[in-house]
Amino acid sequence: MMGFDVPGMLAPAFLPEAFVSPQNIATLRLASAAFYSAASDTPARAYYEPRILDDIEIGQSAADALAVGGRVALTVSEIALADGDNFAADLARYGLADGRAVRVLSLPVVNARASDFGTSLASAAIPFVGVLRSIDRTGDFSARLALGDVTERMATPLQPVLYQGTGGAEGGSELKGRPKPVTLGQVFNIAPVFLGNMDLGAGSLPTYQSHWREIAGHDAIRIRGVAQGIISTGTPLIGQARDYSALGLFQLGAAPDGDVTADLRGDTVPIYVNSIAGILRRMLESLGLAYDAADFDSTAWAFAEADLPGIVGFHQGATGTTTLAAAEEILAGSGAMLAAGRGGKLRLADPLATDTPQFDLPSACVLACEPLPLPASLRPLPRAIAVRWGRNHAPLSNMAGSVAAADRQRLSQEGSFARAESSLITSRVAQQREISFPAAYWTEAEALARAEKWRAVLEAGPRMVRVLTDRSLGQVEIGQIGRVTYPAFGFDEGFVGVVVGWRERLSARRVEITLWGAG
Amino acid sequence: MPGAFLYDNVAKGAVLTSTQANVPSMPLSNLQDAQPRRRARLNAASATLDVDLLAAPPVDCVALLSTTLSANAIIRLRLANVSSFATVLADTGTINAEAQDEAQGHVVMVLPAPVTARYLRIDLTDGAAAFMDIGLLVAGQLWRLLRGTAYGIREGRVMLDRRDRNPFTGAEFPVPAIINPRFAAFTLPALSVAEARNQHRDLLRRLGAAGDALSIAELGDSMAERNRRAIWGAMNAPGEDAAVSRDSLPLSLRAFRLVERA
Repeated sequence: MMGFDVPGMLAPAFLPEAFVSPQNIATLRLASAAFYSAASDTPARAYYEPRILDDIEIGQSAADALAVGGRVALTVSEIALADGDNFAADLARYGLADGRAVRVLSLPVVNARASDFGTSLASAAIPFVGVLRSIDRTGDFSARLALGDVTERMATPLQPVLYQGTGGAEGGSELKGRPKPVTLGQVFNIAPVFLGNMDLGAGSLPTYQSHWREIAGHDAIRIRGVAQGIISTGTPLIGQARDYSALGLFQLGAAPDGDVTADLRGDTVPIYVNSIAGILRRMLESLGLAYDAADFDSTAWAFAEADLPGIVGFHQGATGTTTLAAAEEILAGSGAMLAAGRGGKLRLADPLATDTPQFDLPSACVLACEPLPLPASLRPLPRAIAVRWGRNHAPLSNMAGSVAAADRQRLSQEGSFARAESSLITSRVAQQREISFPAAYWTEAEALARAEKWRAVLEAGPRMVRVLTDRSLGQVEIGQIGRVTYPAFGFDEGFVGVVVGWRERLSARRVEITLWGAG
Repeated sequence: MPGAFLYDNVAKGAVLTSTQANVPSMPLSNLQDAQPRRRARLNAASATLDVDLLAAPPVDCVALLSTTLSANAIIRLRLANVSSFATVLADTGTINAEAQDEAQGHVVMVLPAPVTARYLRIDLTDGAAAFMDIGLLVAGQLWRLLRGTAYGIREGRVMLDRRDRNPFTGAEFPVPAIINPRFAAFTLPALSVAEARNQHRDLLRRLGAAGDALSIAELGDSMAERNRRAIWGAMNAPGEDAAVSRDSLPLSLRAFRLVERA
């Protein structure tokens, strides 16, 4: 957390800076007021051009994604720049700055006349770190600098490792160019990729790939729904399959007479993970554009790990998808929120989290307070919450006659649902609604726990409020828990909620916070 | 004594040299940049700035604007037609620069009468400073008004500070601006026909609404007061008429509202 000057001090100056070359040879430095860094600063005596015409406004919102889940992107983040001297001509024409890293610094002004405002870059707060989405020029001799966040990088193919089509583990020509399968966590009944007959030391046998690298292990392998005996050494016989966990493969003892499916515990590099936070993080770190460990807000992810318990799984076969789509699939299952924090680090949060408030806004600090309607997904309040478990990734329609009736049912449907119904809400609302989360929990108990958590919040009467304040500037993040007290709208005794949106105007020193919860 | 305007800055295309200007990111050419806060740095407590105007125009005003000079800074201005300054045409002697926070550290030097000179030399000493930053160098001949302003001149600041109030609880939330710029609003009710036809037309043509000029409220002010009241900013507003009105046979009227360019 960063500290900020209280109102009454001189206003801060704002300094966005962006790299305009991959080698960081040149840095574009702009400011709301002309500024030279001090001789002791790094960089020393750097000039920040006073081109910013209006306030800098940055905001994120996950309010619409409540009960749906999804990525959070910057919603408003455009900065108007003076362009009467064609400053932005090449930047816009050639996209020189697009996609580069950008930082917005907020600098306390100590001496308004000094070239460095009597302060140093080292004392600057950093309200935002992200990427420069684009610079566009407008007809009124100004340019628009649009900021994005690090989640922009998620719009890339999930699996960059493709089959070469050269045979063996690289698949035949029919697989050439297709992404190798990805399995994270614990999954039920996936359809592995058939690589053809391979000799892995036990003779030439039908070989299937569930994951592109080492997994924890195959727990069940079926042919037309009939479980095969799994061995880890020797040559599999008819009715058997050998598990090659280290390769993410298995081999059948004989050619199958129908669909081959498997249950498994997926990726183990470096360790096996099966929680929502664990799987998401593995997906973002090991796949796609591969975020670094430094790209994650470790505190937020640790909280999310505790707030979003349960074993889940994810599987993507040899078909293309993006990291973004894959992440949204997991988020939608729990209603969790993934956002890029102000410091450029990814944050995961549970909108149902309850804990000690991280900030407290008494009414004296509230410039405006406004109750908001709940999103359409929660109005009228659903009386039942259904959360899927035991997701079947490859429902079977052609099963052997020997498959037991109970198994036959489970193998043929896409999954089961745990339901938490509320008689209280049923009695309150006229229109009976139900919401459903397409989750991938492994057990019914975990799915039911999640459904009951949602039910508890809905039964308590969730509210949403928007608060305008000059406190917690540069600090409020999606997923934080805050408390507001206001002598109206029933908030006299205080309302505790989870931040599902914020919008900050930096020069105006105002932050608008949207809280939701049943507190 | 009436005021004056400097609207034709002859230092804009001058050649500037100073051995103390050795910070690459803050070159002397910044003194000719329209942004006052884009400053040049004289990287010593004592420095000499030489200005070659490349011609010999009449000069009776030289101003250093948006500076970090302290209240104790000393300045000396000399004008000559030889670069060695072996023969000096005008010399202010060593005087207190009277730079203050009140007016962005402006230093406005006015000579009794215009001197036709090609070279300017400005010596600066600021004993307490590690360096001296200057935003703009302005030099040229003043339009010395023949007559003063009308009663009702207003001088003050444009309040860019914000002060929002919660209408329900009454709580106030002030936000200070980095600077509340100075402004002056006045009317020149008795411009002569010659002033209206010559200087004022020239001012309009050269400045338009995009150019800036230096306004000196009273030439009779002390240097400290002159610095405090001098405003560098736009004389004309975009989209609005900028004109004199012929209110009587021998006299014209023009109202101005200047806001300093910070």
